[in-house]
Amino acid sequence: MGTNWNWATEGLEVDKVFEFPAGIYGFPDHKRFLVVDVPGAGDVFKQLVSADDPNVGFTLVFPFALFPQYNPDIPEEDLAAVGAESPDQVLLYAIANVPQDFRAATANLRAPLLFNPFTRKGRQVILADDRYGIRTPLFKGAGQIPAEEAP
Amino acid sequence: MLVLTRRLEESILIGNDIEIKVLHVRGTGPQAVVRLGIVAPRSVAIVRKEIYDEVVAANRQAAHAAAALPAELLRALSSSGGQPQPEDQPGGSPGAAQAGSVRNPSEGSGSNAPDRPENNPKGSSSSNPRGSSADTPQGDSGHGPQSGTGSTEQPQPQR
Repeated sequence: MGTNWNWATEGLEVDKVFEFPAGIYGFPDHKRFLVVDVPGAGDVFKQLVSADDPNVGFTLVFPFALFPQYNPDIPEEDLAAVGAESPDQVLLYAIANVPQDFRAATANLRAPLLFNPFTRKGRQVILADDRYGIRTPLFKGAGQIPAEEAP
Repeated sequence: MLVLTRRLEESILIGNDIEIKVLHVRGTGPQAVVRLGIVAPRSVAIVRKEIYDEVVAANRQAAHAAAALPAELLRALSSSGGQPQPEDQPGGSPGAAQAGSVRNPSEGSGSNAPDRPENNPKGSSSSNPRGSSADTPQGDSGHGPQSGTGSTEQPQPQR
């Protein structure tokens, strides 16, 4: 681990390392990532940090908590790539894009991440189902929500 | 770039097991649309390039923005009655998911989910090779097995 660690590292454990053999789209050189707890966020939000470069990281959102109707169809070959035979053997998170104004946060429901906790392998999958957006707002009518504190 | 000219119903082969066939051509000039049929092993990922590019761009943008979660977001999560409301879950608390372990993708999605597109069968288990057709901009990029012709337009994405 680098010393210039600028991510939340509480709860960090070595056994939370996942191997992404294919990398993540746009980051093909990063093959190992740590899943890091976000204090206060439980399992709804996690952070994913490259083990190779702690300055590369993502915020993950558990999409089923915010999108109850989300029902991605994971292709068999993508499951096989993480050593799983059925969807109930993997955990699924979406990459969230959380800007300064969190009300404008979006989630990439079109290209979720699979994690197999048994094989410790992960993979980003681009779904064929174009009902799911790459930048789906996390919060409905976000523009109408008053900020608690003006930024 | 290798450039080949093909007529309707003609194919090219890439390696031994990938075939791309011209199924349909309509229109001319900038409005021209070509429908392609692709036969490839299921292990070969097929995706429209603009989708791939969008995912790459979204990932890069998300990586830059991920430095820290705003405190307001965490506050919004922990206050069940407070704003903002999570999508389609008025009054509910997404924090409820903290109580148990993370659910798996097949759970938590409910039985009221919209129907799958017909040519995208759940848990498709057919063996190689697969066939799929790609059309621009509305055709199916195809993970499920399907015939090369007669695929219907996809439902519009719900944004």
